[in-house]
Amino acid sequence: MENFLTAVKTVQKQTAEASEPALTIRSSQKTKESHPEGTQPFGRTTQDAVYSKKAIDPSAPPSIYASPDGALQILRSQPDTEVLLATVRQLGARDGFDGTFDLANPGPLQAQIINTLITSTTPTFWPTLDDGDKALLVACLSNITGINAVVARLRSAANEIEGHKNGDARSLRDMLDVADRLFCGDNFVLALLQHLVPSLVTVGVKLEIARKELIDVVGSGKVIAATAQAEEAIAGHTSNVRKAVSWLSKGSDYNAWLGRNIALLVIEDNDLPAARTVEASGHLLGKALNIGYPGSLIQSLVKTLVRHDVEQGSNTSSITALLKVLPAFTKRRFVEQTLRCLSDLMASDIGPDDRSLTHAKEASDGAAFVQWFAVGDTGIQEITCNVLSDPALSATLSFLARRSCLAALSTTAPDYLQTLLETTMTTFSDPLFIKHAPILQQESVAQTLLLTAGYLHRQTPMAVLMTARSSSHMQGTGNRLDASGQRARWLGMVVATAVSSLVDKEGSRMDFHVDEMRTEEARQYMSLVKVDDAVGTLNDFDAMLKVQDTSVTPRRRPRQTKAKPMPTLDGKPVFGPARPPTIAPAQTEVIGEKVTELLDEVSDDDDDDLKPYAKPDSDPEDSDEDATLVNRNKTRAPVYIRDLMPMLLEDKDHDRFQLAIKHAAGLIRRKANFGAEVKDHAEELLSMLCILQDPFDTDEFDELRLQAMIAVLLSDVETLAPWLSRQAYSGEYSLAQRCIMLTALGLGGRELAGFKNEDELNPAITNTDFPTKRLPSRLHAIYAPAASSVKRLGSATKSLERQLIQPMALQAADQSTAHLNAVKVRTFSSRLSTEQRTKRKPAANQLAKVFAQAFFLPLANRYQQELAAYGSGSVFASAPFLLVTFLKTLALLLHASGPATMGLPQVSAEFWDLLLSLRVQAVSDITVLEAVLFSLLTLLEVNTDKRRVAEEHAKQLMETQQWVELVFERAGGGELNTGGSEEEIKVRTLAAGVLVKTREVVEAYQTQLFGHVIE
Amino acid sequence: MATLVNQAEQSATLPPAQPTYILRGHSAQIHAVHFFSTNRYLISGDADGWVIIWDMPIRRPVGVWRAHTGSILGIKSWPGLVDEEDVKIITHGRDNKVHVWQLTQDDISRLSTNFPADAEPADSRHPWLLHTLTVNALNFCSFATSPSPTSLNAPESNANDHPTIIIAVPGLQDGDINLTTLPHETRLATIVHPASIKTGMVMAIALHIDPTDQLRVVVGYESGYICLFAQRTGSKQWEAIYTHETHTQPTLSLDLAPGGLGYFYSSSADAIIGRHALLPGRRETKIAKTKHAGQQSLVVRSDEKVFATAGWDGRIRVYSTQSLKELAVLKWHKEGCYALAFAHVHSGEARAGVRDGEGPEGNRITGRTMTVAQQRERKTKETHWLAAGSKDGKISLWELY
Repeated sequence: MENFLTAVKTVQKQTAEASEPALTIRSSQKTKESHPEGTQPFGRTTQDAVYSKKAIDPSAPPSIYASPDGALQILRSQPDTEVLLATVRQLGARDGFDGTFDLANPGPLQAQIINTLITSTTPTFWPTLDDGDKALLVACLSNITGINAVVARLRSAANEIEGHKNGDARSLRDMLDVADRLFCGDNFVLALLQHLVPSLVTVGVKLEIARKELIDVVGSGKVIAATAQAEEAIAGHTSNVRKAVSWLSKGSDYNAWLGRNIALLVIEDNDLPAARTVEASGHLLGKALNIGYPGSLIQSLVKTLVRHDVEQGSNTSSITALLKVLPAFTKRRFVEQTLRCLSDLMASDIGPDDRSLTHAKEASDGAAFVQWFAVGDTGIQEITCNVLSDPALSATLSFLARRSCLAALSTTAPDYLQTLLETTMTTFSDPLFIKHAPILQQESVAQTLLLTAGYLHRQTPMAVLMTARSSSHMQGTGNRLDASGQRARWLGMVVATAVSSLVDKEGSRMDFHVDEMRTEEARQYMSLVKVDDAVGTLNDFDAMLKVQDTSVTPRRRPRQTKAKPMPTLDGKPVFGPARPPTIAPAQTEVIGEKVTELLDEVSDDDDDDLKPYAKPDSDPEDSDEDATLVNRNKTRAPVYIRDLMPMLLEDKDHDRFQLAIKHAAGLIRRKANFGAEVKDHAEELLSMLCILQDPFDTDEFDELRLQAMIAVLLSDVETLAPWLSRQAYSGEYSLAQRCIMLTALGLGGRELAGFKNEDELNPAITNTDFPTKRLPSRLHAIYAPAASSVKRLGSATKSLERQLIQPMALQAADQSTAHLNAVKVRTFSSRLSTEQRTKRKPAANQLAKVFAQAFFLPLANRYQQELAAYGSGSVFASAPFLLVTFLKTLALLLHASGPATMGLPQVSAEFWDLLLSLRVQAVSDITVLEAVLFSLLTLLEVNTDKRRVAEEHAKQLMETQQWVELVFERAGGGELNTGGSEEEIKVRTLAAGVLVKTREVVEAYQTQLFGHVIE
Repeated sequence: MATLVNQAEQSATLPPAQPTYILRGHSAQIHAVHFFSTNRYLISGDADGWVIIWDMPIRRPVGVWRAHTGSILGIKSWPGLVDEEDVKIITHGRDNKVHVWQLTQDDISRLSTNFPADAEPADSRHPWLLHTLTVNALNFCSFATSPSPTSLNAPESNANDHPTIIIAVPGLQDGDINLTTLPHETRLATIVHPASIKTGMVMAIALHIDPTDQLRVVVGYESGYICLFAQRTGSKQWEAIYTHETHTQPTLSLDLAPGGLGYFYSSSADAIIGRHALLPGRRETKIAKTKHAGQQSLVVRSDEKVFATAGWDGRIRVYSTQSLKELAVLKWHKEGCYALAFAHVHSGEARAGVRDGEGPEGNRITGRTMTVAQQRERKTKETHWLAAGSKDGKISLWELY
C-alpha cells in the first residue's frame, strides 16, 4: 500500500509537469483523427490496432493506440469524449493490449493511468457521461490500484473541503458516485482476485502482496471512513438538503455486503484454484470482524452460505472450508458472533417461559444450523462449549439459541458434554459467582447446566451420576443454600432437585418441601432436564430465515406537513386554484324584476290546511354554506376494539384518527374486563400504539397515546408488562418510542399501586414555560418529541422527589444542623393540594405483588443482557436520556410498590448493583447522576427494614456512602450557596438526601446492636 | 285513540312521520322511481340498469328486468287511452339509449320476479320493446316528456291511436336540447342555449304546454342558471324568455305546478330552492335558503299543494308549494336519497269520497260489494304515497297529507 501511494504521489508531480506538452500532443491527435484508418502516432503497427479493435468490440471506434503508454499519453492530453471512451474501453478490456499489460496488475504504469483517470478524467467527464459510459470508466478502476486511488482521492478531497481550502464539493460528489458504482455486486472481491491470477501467476511474491493489499483495503474500515468523511464534508459544505446517505458509509450495510462477498468467495472456490479464494476469504473475514459491525457481517455471510447449501442440496457444508483456514482467534469470534446472530433470530426471553419451552421446532431448526457449522471441526465444537460455559457470554444468548447449541452438540460432539457439565457445575457452585454475578448470568448458567445434564444423562447416565455425587456438587448446593440472595438460593434448590430427579431413584429424590419450589417457574426449570430436541434440517432453518426476512418492520409513516393555509373566499376555505372573481354575467332578458328571498320566518302566502310534521330526532343543518365542503359521512367514536385498531392506523381521514386516539384510552378501560375483546388483541394493540405516529398534528397526541398504552397495559399486567419491557429493548424503535414504553410502564405501575393519577380527571397539562422560552408548538413537536414522551414521568418523578426530601428537610431544620442546609426545600402548597393529600384513601397496592416478576426483573434483566451483548453500542449506553428514563421508571415503580413488595431483598440487591455499576457514567453526565441519586434515595426509602439493609447490603451501603460523599463534595458540599445551575442544586439536594438516609441506616443498626449489648 | 288524535290535531305539529313500508330488492343505488297505472304499480330503476315493477297493493315485485346496460337516468310512463290497460314505459339510461317498453297486464305477468342479485344470467325476459332512441347521455340529465300540443298532432291521426308525446333530451353539444315526438320519432327542434351566458351542461329539463297550446321548455344548467324557452310567435326560433341565476351550484332537478299555481320549482346541489313563474313577468321569483345542501329529484304532487326533495343527507323534505315552508323532514335512510315520486292524488271530491268511505256506513256498503283484495287495491290507489329511493338500494314509502 505504502509503495503504492508513493507511486501515486510521484505521478501527481509528473502530471503537473506534463500539462504543458499536452497541448502539442492534442494538436497532433486532431490531425490523426482526420484520417479514418489513422497512422499510429506512437510507433505502433496498424496490425496491432486492428487486432485490438477486433478483440474488444466490433462496433467500437477504431483504437488509435496500442500500447498502455500511448493510452496514458492520450488520457493526459485532454481528449474529447469519443477518444476517451475508446481509450477507456480498451484499457478496461482484459486483453486490450498484447498480453503483457493488464490494469489489474499493480505496477507503476498502471498507477499512472489510474491516477490520470481519477485526478483529471473523472472530474472533467463524469457528469456528462451516460450510464453505459460510466460503467466503462468504472471497469478501468475496478482493480486494487483503482480502489486504493478512489479511497485516497475521497479522503484527500474531503480534507480539502473541510480545511476550507478551495475544495470542490461537486467533484467530490462525483467521486462518491464513482465509489458507489465501483463497490457493487456480491462478487466484487471474487472478480478482483480472479483478475489478479492470470497476470501474476508467475510472480508469486507480487501476487501475495497484491492479495494482501486487496484484503487490507476492502476488509478494513477505510472505505467506510473515507465515504463517510466525504459525505460529511459535502453536507457541511453545501447548505442544501442532505443527499441520501450512501450504503458505503453505513457500517452495517457495508459489512453485510462484505459478508456476501466472503460467502461468494467460499462458494466459487472451485472455479479457479490458483486464486485460492477460500484462503483469501479467511483473511478477509478476520479483518472484517475488526471493523466493528460483526453482527451484520456474520448474518449476511451465514445467510448466503446457508441459502447456497440449501439450494445445492449438498450434504457437505460450504462453511467448513472457510472455517478450516481461520486462525484460532478469528474462529472464536466467528462462533461468538454466529451464536449471537442465531440468538437474535430466535429472540425469546432469557428464561424458559412457556413460549420458548413449547417451541421445540424452532430449537431443532436452530440445532441444524449449529450442526451445520460445527460438524467436523473440533475446534469449533470446543469454542461453542466454551461460549456456553462462560456465564457472561452465554447470558447474552437467548434461551432458544442455547438450547439449539446443546441439541447440536449432543449429536455432533457428545464428548464435550461431560466437560461442559463439569465446567458449568463449577461455575454455578462458586461462592464468588453466587455472591457477585448478576442474577441473569446465574439463571443462564443454571439453564445450561440442566439442559446439559439432561442430554448427558440420556447418553451416559453414569457420568451424570458421578458429577451429582461429586463433592463439588454437594459443596455447591451447600453454598447456594447459604446464599443471601433469595433467587440464588432458589436456583440452587431447583438445580439440586432437578439433578437428583435424574440420578436418584423414586423415593430417595431430593425435595425441599417449600412453597417456592411449587411455582410454575420451578416446574419449567425442572422440565429442562427432559428437553430433548432432535436436530432438524437446514432447509427448515432456511425457511425460518426467510420468514425473518419478510417479517414486517415497524411501519413508518411520513409526517404530514401541514399544508399552507388554504385560500379563502368569503371567509371560508376553497380548494383548487384560486378562483377568479366571478363577474355576474349579463342577463339577456330580465323579466322578474324583483327577487325576494324567503327567510325562515317570512311567509307571504298563507298555507292552507297543511300542518307541518315535527322534525325527526336529528336534522343537523349544514356546517358550511358551500355544498362541496359539507361532510356527510360523520364518523362516530369507536365502540369495539376491532373498530379502534383500523381507525388508529388511518392516515387519510383526519376526523377518524382524532376520534380514535381521543377515545382509545376510555374505550380500552371500559372493555378491559368485558369479554376477551382487549385480551385477544392486547399485544397487537400495544405494539400498534408503540409505533403509532401522528399524521395530523393532533393536540396532546403523546398524552393520549400514553393513556391508551397504560390502559392496555393495565388490562393484563402480568403478561403485558414483561412483554412491553422486552419491546423497550428490542426492535428498531426510536428513542421517543422506547421512552414512551418505559413511561407507560412506570405510570401504569403507579396506577396499579393505587397512585391514581391525580390529574386523570383533568389531564390537560398547560405548558407553563414562558412563551419566549418555547419553540412554536409545531416546531416544538418536531424537535422535542422524546422530551414530551416522558413529560408525565418527569412530573411524577418531581413530585415524588419532593415527597422524599421534604420530611428530611423539615427534620434538618429542626436540628438546625449546618451540614444539612442543602436539603432545605421550599415548596408552596396550596390548601387544595393539602386537602387532596389528606383525603386520599390508601388503595390496595396491587403492584407490590407483581412488581418483581412483571416489571422489575424483565426490565433490569433485559438491560443487563443488552449491555452484555452490545456494550457501548447499545442505545441505552449511548443515549443518556433513555438511561435516565429507564432509571426513573424503575425508581418510580419501586417507590410505588413500596416496602411490602414481594421479593424486596432480591430486587433491592439487583437494583443497587445496577446503580453502582452506573457510577462511571453518572460522573460524565449530570442527568444520569441525578437519576442515579434519585434511584438510590428511593431504594433507601423503600427498604424500611434498616437492620436487614445493614446486614445484607453492607458492601453496597458502604460503597454508596463513599461515592455519594464524593459527589456531594464535588457538587459544592454543605455550604448553603445558591450558585450553580438548577441541576447542580438538585444533585446536591439529592446527594445530601442519600447521605442522610445512609447514616440513618447505620445509626439505626448501631442502636440496635448496642441495644442488644446493653440488654 | 281518539284523544290522541285530538291532541295531534290541536298541537301545532304532527308527530314525526315514519315510513309505512320499505321495499328492498335493488342491489345498487336507486336513481328513479315512478308511480303508474293510477298508483297500482311503482317502477324503480337503479345504477346497474335494473328496473323493478312493484305491485303496490301487495308490495311485491311483479316484473324485474335489466332495461339498460348503464345506470338508469329516468323513468316515466306514457299512459294509453285506457289508463290501466295499455301502458308504455319510457326508460333512459347512460348507455345512450331511451327505450319505450310495452307493458300490458300480459306483459307484466311474463316477466321474471327474481331480484337483480338473484337473477339468472340466462334469463333475458323483458317486455316488448317498442322504440329505441339513441341519445347523448354523457351528462346526468334525465329526459322529459309531455303530451304534444294539439297543434302538432298529425291531422291524419285518429282518436284511437296512442296519444302523441314530445320527449326532450340533452343534445350533442353541451347546453343543447333535442325535442322529438313519439311514436313518430321525428325531431321537432334543437334548442341552443343562450349565447350570452355560460351554461355548462344541461342538468334538468321540464316541458309545459301553456294555456295557449304553446310548448314551453324549462331548462336547468350546470352553472346554476334556469331558463324558460318559448317559440317566438310566427317563427320556429326558440328563445329564452326568462333567465335567472338561481343557484350557485349545478341545478339538479326541476318540476312544474302547471295547474292553478303556474309555478315551477328548481333545486340544486346547493341549499337553495327556487320558485319561478311559468308566465314570467306576472309574478316574482322566490328563492328559499334551506340550509341543507344537495337536494335532488324535486317533485310536485299532482294536487300542487306540496313538493318534496330527496336530500343527499338522507332526509326527504316536504315543502309547501305556496310558501316554500318546510313542512316535513322524513328521516329513515342512512345514506343519501336520489329519487322521489309522489303517487297521483285524486281531485278534492274523490278525496272527500274516500273520507266518507272510511266512515262506518261507507265501510258497510263497500264491504258488501268488494272482495278484500279489491278493497286493498282501492285503498292503496287512494293513498297519498311518497316513494323515496336511496343510495342504499332501498325504497321507503311514506303516507303524507
